[in-house]
Amino acid sequence: MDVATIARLQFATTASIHFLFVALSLGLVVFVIAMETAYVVTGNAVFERMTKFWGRLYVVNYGVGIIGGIVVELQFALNWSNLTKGFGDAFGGALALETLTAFFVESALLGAWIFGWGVLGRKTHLALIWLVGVSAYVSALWILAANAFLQHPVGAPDTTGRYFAGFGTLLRNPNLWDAFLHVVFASLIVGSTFVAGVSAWHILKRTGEAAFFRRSLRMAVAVLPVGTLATVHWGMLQLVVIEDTQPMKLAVLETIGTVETIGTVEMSGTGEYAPPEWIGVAYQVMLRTGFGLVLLSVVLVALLFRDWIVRLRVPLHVLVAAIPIPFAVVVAGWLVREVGRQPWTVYGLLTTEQAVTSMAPGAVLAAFLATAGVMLGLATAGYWLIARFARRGPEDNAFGVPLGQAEPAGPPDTAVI
Amino acid sequence: MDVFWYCLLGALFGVYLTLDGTVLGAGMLLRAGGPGERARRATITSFGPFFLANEVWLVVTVATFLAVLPRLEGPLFRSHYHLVAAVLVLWTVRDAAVWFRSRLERPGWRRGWDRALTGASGAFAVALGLLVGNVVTTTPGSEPVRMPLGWYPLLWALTVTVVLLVHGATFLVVRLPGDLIGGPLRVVRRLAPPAAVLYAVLLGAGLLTGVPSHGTPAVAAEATAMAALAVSARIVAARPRIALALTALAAAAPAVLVGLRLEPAAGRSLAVASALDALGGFLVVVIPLVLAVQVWTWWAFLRRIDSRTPVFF
Ligand code: HDD
Ligand code: HEM
Ligand code: HEM
Repeated sequence: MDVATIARLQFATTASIHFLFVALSLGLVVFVIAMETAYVVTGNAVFERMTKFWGRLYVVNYGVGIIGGIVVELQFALNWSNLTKGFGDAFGGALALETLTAFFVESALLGAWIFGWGVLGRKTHLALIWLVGVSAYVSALWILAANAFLQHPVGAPDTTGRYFAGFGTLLRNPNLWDAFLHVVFASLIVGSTFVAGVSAWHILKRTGEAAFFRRSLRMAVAVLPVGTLATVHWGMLQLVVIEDTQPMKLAVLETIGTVETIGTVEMSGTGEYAPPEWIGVAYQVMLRTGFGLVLLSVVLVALLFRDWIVRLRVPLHVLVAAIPIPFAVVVAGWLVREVGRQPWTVYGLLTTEQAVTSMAPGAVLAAFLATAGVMLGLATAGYWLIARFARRGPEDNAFGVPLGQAEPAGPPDTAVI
Repeated sequence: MDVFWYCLLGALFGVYLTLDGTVLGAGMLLRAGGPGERARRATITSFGPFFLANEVWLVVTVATFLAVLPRLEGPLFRSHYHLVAAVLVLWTVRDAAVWFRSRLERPGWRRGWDRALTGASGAFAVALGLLVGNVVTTTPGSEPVRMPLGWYPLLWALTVTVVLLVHGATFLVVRLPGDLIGGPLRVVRRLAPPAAVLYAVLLGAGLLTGVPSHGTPAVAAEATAMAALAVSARIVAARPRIALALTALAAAAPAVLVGLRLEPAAGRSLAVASALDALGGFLVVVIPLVLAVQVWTWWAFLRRIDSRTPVFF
């Protein structure tokens, strides 16, 4: 295999895994914020338990998200040096600002939130999770601004011939906002199906927390249609943008016209190019599941009336089974966007072959196997833990107990708990 | 104006070494607090609230590097591809160990992740040291270094590891409950003098062989590190926080040498002025904000752990 293929595979696997966790983080944080806000406003202890239960799932998920993000980030420097060399002036700033404005703040505050239970005042603690949530969305915006630049390179070469785009230009990229909102609401789908599915499981299994999970379920089911309708809306709008900026992608997605005619019309001079046709399948999967989810979510909301959703039972089984679906759709969507950008890394300006660092394939392959292997292992362990905590239900010590009560001192191998 | 960007990058990397150095050191010293689960749990809790906020400095360093020196990052990373890839993998393992270890009660699970934490922290420190040694002796953009194990990088690997052990131990003296600080105190007292000697050897080697770590700022950085280590060994019991500030200097010193080495190439690789101006405009607002948030976390959590401190990791 050549270096470009390996590097692409590496980016595809690691970024996809990263995004699975990010999507759940972005979706779940909305619920955690809502629950903790309700707790601080009403003083009702049920909301505190809800915050802690869903909050711990959020935190475990977040950890894997961060590890994945680090792996993805370093690949720009390791494998795609010609991209950074040629276009770092233009989109590097967005990546830097993402880390500076968002991660910097987010990571400090999340640590304080985790360790601040019972230590900080209630309102301070609540402010922390709000800020964590807001900076997560800010970070999503900046990273998508960088990605939108690759999809549709706004900006222009400056007098020295180097490609430059200011932040205003990056943020006005037509390829950014519909994608951002599509991602935001897709994440909301991921989060609310997760909350609803886990709650439904507990209600079905009669784990003894009926009131707790009924409340969580109703909340998530009420939010779900917002997610599905908005996702479809901005998905449709993306098609309009693609028609203008990446006609070849649209040609493959909808097979309108033939690949040849559009290719020659649009980019005379740059030669023949077209993304692989199989992304059409990924697109159909996303599209049909999207419409299916709209239908499902509307029906489920109707069933909230008089608690039919619980009394009928069938909807609960459906919700449990639905947990993995949005995750799969989200990966399909990214395949459409990123593979659909091929053969370009910077659309129309830099091909993927040109963007890759010239390295011996052996080294790149070893790095790919090591990082992808570790990430697969971590993702598996992460999901296994999340499933375990989800099944256990609410526990008082979800965020640890004081050190004094935690563990008896003793010789290393006898101390348990 | 260029100087501002170099200093910013150097500061980001130096602060990273200082902050995450406490975690790497404490990770290597997981067993130093004493036997038993309580000591380990306390050790991990000592850096717990800061863990994310510390490592993010390296993420920020890499991203800012990309934005400020877009033409240098590629060549530099290409030359040190193998080491950077190794650091990346070790980093993920270390993080996973912290994140997963205390999530289950099974002793086997915890023991396994404890080993992963100690092993990955040690290897991470060695790899960082090798990276510093190699960056200082290689022209960025030269062919990938296949065998990054010359005597000079190895000397750096040893120095960085020992210095981070001292730094981590000092941090533990500040944070651990009173009954657990005996071990870390001994580590500081025993290892700080050899760490100072290692910096002296590096300084001498730099001056004698002309490895590029000479020049006044390099000498000053190494001499400061030496003095800081020597003093911290003496005052660590009475004034642990001041000792921590001193070992922090010793931990950050490599950033100065790396910065000096890269400076000539950096001049040719700076991003276009308009890009830097735009970024600078944001930074004026962002940096004070970020610093305020980070300082607040330290202020809120940097006290001695006691039996009421919540544990999570
Ligand atoms: C639960 C998730 C989900 C659902 C139900 C949908 N999508 Fe989607 N879609 C995504 C999750 C997603 C995504 C993973 O979030 C992507 C990847 C990149 C992006 O911007 O969003 C995406 C990308 C994406 C793209 C590629 C944009 C590009 O190449 O620049 C298009 C054209 C659509 N979507 C269109 C749709 C339509 C018309 C849908 C409705 C029927 C739809 N999506 C439902
Ligand atoms: C492919 C390019 C990407 C890179 C290089 C990248 C980089 C990173 C890095 C380095 C982190 C860890 C930050 C830390 O240490 O605190 C991270 C986490 C995160 N990333 Fe990404 N990321 C990418 C894609 C995305 C996308 C597409 C989104 C959202 C739309 C996103 C949203 C987040 C969020 C919200 C976090 C916080 C952790 C979490 O919630 O799981 N990232 N990312
Ligand atoms: C987290 C969500 C993302 C996922 C799942 C994702 C997925 C992918 C996939 C599947 C590829 C391989 C395409 C191919 O080779 O055919 C790829 C390549 C790539 N993506 Fe993304 N991507 C994500 C976000 C981003 C973002 C935010 C950026 C930019 C900031 C980005 C930049 C790149 C680059 C540079 C490549 C390699 C060069 C290329 O194939 O064009 N990606 N990504």
